[in-house]
Amino acid sequence: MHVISSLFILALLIGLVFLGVGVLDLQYLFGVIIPYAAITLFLAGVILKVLKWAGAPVPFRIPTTCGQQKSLSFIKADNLEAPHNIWGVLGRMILEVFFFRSLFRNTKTEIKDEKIVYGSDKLLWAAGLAFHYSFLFIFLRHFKFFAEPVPQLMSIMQKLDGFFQIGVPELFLTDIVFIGAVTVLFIRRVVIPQVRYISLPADYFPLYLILGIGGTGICMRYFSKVDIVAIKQLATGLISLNPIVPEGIGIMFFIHFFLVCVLFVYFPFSKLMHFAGVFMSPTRNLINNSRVKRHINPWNPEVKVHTYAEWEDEFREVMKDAGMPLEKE
Amino acid sequence: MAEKLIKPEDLARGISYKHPEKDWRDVPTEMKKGCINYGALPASADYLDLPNVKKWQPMHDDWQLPENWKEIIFEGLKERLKKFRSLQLFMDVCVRCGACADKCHFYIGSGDPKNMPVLRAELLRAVYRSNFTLAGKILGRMAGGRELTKDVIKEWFFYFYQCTECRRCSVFCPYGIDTAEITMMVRELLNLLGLGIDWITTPAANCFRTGNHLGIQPHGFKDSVDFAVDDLEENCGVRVEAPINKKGAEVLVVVPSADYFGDPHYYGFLGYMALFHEIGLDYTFSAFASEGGNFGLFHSNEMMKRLNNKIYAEAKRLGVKWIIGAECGHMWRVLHQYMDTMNGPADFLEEPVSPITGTKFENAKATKMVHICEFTADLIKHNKIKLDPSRNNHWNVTYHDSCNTARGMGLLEEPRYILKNTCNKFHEMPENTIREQTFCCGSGSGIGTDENLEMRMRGGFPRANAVKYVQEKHGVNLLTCICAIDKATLPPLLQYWVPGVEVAAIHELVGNALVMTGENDRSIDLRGDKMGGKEDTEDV
Amino acid sequence: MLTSLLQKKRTEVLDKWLSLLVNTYPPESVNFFLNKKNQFANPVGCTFAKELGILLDSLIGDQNAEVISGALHTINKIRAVQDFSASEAVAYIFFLKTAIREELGDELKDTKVLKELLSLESAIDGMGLIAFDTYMQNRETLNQIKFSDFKRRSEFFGGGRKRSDS
Repeated sequence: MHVISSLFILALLIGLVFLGVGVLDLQYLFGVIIPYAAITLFLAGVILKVLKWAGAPVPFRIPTTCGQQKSLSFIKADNLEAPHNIWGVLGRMILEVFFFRSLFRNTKTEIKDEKIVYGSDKLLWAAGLAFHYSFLFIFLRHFKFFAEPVPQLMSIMQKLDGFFQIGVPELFLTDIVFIGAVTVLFIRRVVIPQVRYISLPADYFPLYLILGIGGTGICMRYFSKVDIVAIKQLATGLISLNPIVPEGIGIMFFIHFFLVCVLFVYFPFSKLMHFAGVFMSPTRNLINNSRVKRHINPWNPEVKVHTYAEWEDEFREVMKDAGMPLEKE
Repeated sequence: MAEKLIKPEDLARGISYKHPEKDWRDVPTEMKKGCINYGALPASADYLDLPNVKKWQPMHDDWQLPENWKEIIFEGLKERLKKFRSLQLFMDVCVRCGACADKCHFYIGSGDPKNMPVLRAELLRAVYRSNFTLAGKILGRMAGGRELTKDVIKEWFFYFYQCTECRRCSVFCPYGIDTAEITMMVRELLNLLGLGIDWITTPAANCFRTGNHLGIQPHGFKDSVDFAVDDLEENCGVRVEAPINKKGAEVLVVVPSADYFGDPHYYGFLGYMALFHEIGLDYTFSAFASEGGNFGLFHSNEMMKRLNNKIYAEAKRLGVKWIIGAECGHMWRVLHQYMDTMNGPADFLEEPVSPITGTKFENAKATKMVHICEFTADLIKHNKIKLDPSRNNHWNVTYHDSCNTARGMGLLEEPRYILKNTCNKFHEMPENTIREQTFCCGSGSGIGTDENLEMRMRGGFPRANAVKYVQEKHGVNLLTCICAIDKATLPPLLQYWVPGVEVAAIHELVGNALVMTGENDRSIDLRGDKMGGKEDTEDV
Repeated sequence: MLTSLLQKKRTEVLDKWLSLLVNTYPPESVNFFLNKKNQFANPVGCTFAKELGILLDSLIGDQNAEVISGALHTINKIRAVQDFSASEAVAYIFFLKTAIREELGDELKDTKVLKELLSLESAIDGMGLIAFDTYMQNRETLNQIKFSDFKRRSEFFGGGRKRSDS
């Protein structure tokens, strides 16, 4: 049900482009106004969200320790899994952000009946990692449209990516990895019953959106050729705040571009914010040193306590009978 | 002919689970016997000045919610979102990847989808979305929202008292989302409506009044300790001193109350006393701080602070230099991660230094509280005590990492170091069931009650299953641990799943192995059973 | 005859039986119980798989009562603490009949095989009776534990440690 409903939204969005650009000829709206609005909303949304998180204090020091604490000199501490200084935390965060350390923990090669069995979770780690890195690579590669002359780094990336020189224009490896990874993530969500059960439209929609963006992008590169020069004109115009909409940009581009805008707008209001959240997670980014250094809770509440004096008042008689020391006889 | 009969598979499926794959938000929750805990006694709740106290049980239809219950929940949630970054973040960033889904011992043992950590958290998240996010306010269910109804409150009660706050899921979450944090928040919200459970509220009330969860009064505490001194003398032939409320002692020793009262905790308690006597530690127990455990942790952060307060207060009154905390899991979660923040700074104490070895416990520099396993491991390393591991030869030992000391502290190797020096036969359970991946006993966080027994047996099965493996493979007959709740709830768990395996404190083995000056022939162990079996020694 | 047929089709029959058993759990979790192969990460599913194998083997083998009741005990220990009534909990025994009929299908048309099947099914019925007993034993243990837990709790709140405890 959720699978269908969110697909319907994607179709609606694409239909909107056909209507707007194809029928009503609103190139300027789709080529300039919406992109500017989208990037503004994106930046504002992300910043506000991060400020909202940052505005909530971390009252307690609650790292999840996944390794040996630093205690006695003869016991080897695990600074990456139970960080005892800032370097440990940095290392832990790098492993988490760049290598998805915690997801990797899932994966275990198991030996059953003398055979090696791979846990299904390895798929999640691998697909997740492949998806995020290829996405990043493709994202960076797009700067070639915004910069003139094209920076050397972009050219190198492009060369690497088309290393095998299959087809004309040469096939980008990242495109294949990207589509493959997103597809795996999608299929996994539909096929594994537990995961399907927990999935919301908000889980399918970004996948569709990303597939739509990737699909139209690939389409433009390999199949329905678009006017690259015109697109580059549009892009450089946008980035230099001097927007023009050249003639002859195909509808395919507008679909691609609009979906990217939707993704940008959708970002701050959705689970996609995990990209910023991962840096702020108190169970990961805190040093496990709460016994070494006092952690301050800004709202440390006043509470009603039971004092020793009150306690002794209640139990003085029995304590006296038992010969226990007293403050007041 | 066969077609006309009712097939057994229809029968078995029919009653419990004959629903099509429905959205979880539409699957009603039933308060099942054996899976719920009784509501708090009004007297206990009143003693703690809790709100909306009532005589109430979860299996009744009417939960007597106050008129403005919705408002209370929304206000409470709003307040907590502002006070806890963890909550705000964990509400927003979950991508429902499912990595945590099969990591919860309750899910593994029951297959109930709402026991998947992600779905447990979604129980709160859905309400959060509908009322605190733009998308949820506009799109409602479509955005994953859910209306807050009385049934949702009941579902919260059911499932958030089926989480033991063990944090295993948070080890596997790519964003470190910790269901324990969410459970703590929801329990705070439920408590605002007067929906606490008795096994948490009554011990908390006891602890607030008498100083310990069991409600033992000071003279009773003294009796218990005196009794233990007699017991120890009978077993070892050495009469130890066990001072209580002694001013000017160097160290205050705080133990969970089950240590001087419960089985098999008590033998560990004997072990501490033997050890302290043998090394000549100048220490005192306190009848006021006669509880290290803290059921406030399972109630609310305020209650945790209220109960924890007495430890520093008593250390100050008695004028000790520093504090040793005994074997207990959730107690150490509080001592390690919360105490100094809540009730510190402990600037009236000194940085802990072992008077025997001279070791500075720099890892407890601020809190001034040292785990007894750290203390003992240091003694062993410096050869300050004489141990005869063969005295534990009647035990074939394995070690259960308690959730809180493992995942909330990182105390993994100290107990193992002690074990390797106090027994000859030690075997680890499989790798994905120990250390940071340890399986909970299934009864932590205040749900270790007899009315909740079936749930506990289910939740504890993954742990028991790993014990069974080492029992069959290595002949293990003793499961050691450093948690008072473990020691109370693992024995029934093992009695059911793995008969023949006993449960013991690490310091029971220390006590057995400890060679004491002036001891008798040590023919019996701390349990009063025949010691040793010195001839059959096996390599570790 | 039947025995050799079953030996040949052991995997299929066993898979079918296991799947029928696991389908008594929520549909979302069936996959987890069936496919997660690590015996520590998925103790319920792995125990079922192992013990059903033992049951089937000894049923078509020497029908050793001790082995059978041991395996039943292990499975029923799990079923006894989950949300099942007594009949629901032990019904899985009879799923074996379905599994055999479905997996052998046409081969059962042979009257000789059919006769053997009838006697095997009687054995399955007998197994059902033992299953009921072992289920009840486990419930009994559970009640004992519940009682002693309750007693322990009463003692907890009753005062000091009793000398007789040690």
